Amino acid sequence: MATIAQELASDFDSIKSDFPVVINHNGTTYNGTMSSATKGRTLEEGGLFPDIDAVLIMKSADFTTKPKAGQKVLINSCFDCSLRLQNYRITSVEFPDGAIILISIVALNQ
Amino acid sequence: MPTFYNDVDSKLESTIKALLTAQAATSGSNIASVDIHTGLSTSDIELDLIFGLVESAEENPSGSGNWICQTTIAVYTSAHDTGLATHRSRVSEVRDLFMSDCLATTISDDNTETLTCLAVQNYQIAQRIEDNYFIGEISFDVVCYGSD
Repeated sequence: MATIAQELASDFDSIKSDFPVVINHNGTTYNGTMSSATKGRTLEEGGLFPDIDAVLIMKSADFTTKPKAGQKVLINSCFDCSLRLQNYRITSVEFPDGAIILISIVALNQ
Repeated sequence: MPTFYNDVDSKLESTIKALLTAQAATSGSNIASVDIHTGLSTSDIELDLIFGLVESAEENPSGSGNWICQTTIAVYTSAHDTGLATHRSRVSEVRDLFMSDCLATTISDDNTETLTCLAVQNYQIAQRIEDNYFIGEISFDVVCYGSD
């Protein structure tokens, strides 16, 4: 019989396969998924600032070096194609249960 | 497209952008890789940015057609990606460009817009941090009139 941890891992793998996101952080590629993203543009002095908010959901064990706020992350591929091949800024990193890691990202200039 | 005599704020912003762009093209410029925009702009901001904004203008003396334009040049540099040393070198280069004795003549001579500058005065400099950006500003008053 599968343990709760194994069932959670299996569930997470299913979500990842349905809503895949591949990111690159510090030169290493990771697979995961993402929460719904908020995308906008804000007009300020000088022009239009992108306004993007999303949370990457990754497997904590995949990271030997955990991401930190302020670092950049590249989304290589994503089920939301408008976010692909762009760099984003990590604003916070959360470890809710030790199994997954939640990485909040915004546009580089937010 | 006609150029309008009293469109001094837009004309001045365009001229400032042209001066900054010319400076960025000089050999060894610290602002070579930076996006340069006017203050009112619908261009997308990628990361670092310099813009020239004419915040307001007052006709003085009234009815003369001469305007005192409160102008600010702002240098935005990403604290995470670019860093403070580069920011400082950019700000000092922009200050040197605009705190020049011959700036009034330079603005008049620039052929981006039909604008005649009589004087540049009341310089102020400021710096601050906002949203992970180092920001350096230089503000001054430009006394000018539209030449058309």
